[in-house]
Amino acid sequence: MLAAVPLLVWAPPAGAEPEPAAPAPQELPGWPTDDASPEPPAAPPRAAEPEPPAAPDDAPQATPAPSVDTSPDARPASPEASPESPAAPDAPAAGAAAPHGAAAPDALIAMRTAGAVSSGSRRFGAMADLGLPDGATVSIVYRPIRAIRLHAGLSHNLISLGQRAGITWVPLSWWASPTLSVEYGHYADGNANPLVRAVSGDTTFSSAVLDRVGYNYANAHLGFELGRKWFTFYVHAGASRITGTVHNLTAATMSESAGTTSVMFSKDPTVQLWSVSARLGFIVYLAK
Amino acid sequence: MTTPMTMMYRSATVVLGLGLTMLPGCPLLNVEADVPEVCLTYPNLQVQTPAVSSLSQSFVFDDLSAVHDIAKQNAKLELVRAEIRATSGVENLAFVHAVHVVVTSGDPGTTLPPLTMYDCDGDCTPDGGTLEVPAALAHNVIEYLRSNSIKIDIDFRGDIPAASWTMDINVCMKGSAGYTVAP
Repeated sequence: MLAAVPLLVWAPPAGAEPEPAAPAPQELPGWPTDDASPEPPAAPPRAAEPEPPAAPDDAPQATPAPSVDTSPDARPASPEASPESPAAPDAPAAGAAAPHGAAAPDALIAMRTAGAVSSGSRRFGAMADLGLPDGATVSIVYRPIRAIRLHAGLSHNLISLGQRAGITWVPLSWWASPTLSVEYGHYADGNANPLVRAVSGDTTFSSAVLDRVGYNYANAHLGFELGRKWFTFYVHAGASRITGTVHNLTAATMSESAGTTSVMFSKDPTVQLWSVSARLGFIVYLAK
Repeated sequence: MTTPMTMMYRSATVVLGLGLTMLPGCPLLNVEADVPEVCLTYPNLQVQTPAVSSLSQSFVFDDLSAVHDIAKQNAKLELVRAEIRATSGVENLAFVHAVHVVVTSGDPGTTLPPLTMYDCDGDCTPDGGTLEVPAALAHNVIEYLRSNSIKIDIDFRGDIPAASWTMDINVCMKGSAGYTVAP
């Protein structure tokens, strides 16, 4: 069983006889090492090297190099990494993990699949996107683990300034991946009349209802993303719930009213809107 | 043994499955508006009587265009309260013992029955020159508001003084409206 553990981390050489049942290291998700290609083939395993003569009973203790490091960093990052390099400092941990038997590889794989954090990957980034109802948003991005991305930032919808925060689940560690995102945002009240005048071309347009326009929104989006390590382009689409209050409706209706009847909204109406929504944007990861 | 590939495929399947499951149930647009209170106001209703024990007054809200946009939608409107506010001629409305407010469609060919929408009898509690009468029943009156006008009949009972006085009448409603665009 111990012989199978290194195979989870090291790929067999071309001439070696791999165990058919052992998964190849290319299948291990985690922080990818190359955005543009799948995981590179790993370096030849030490198992391919001539073993020094040793008593069979001593073999587990006498084999230091194929480490079973739970940190993704211990995995060779490129084909240039030499398996003949000195043993990893945490090699004794491998010996400690071995007695766990078959559960040890499963736990290792589960950790990598969930996206154990790699100290060598960029966690912080900047995000910019454009969509509805979000408007244009710039955000700070943080990846606590590979599969989860948090973001918070400032928005503008051509009416007023807003804020937005959210979380994205990226299930695959590949260069392309589907995603699931939820976000919540808020736009403060602003005057929408200039925007309507600019769009319609009617410079005399004015509506009391548009004097104060603001809303809160929540998004639930499915998405598709390209790129992982330092740059990500994405398209998200789904549903949004938008809530807001309509102000100055009395003034608006009275301007249209005639006769002896007047209409007064003594309490401002509230509006809730469910709609399809979408946005596209990109992320640049800047710092570890 | 669960391989990472299997786990990733499962994750992707969950994500895509969620989206495909939710997709058919999603309208393109669904708008719901909630109006906590909107009042129709008839100003300066004039009363000129000798001292009597009962008095009937009628008036018509003749321009409902402001609420027609709401009435066209899948809307629900309920009467909440009526407010009678003396504006001149009397100090207060303490002489009122009972009030009945009846709403009738102003459409001559209507089949909608008159509804006693607001009343108080013995439990009227005027606050100076203002008397607020709660709705007698929760009833969707949207059909009444779809006509071009509604007629309001008010019956007062009490020790009504010999005077010429004026009052404003507010008929207040609450409502909700919805609009959906489906693919």
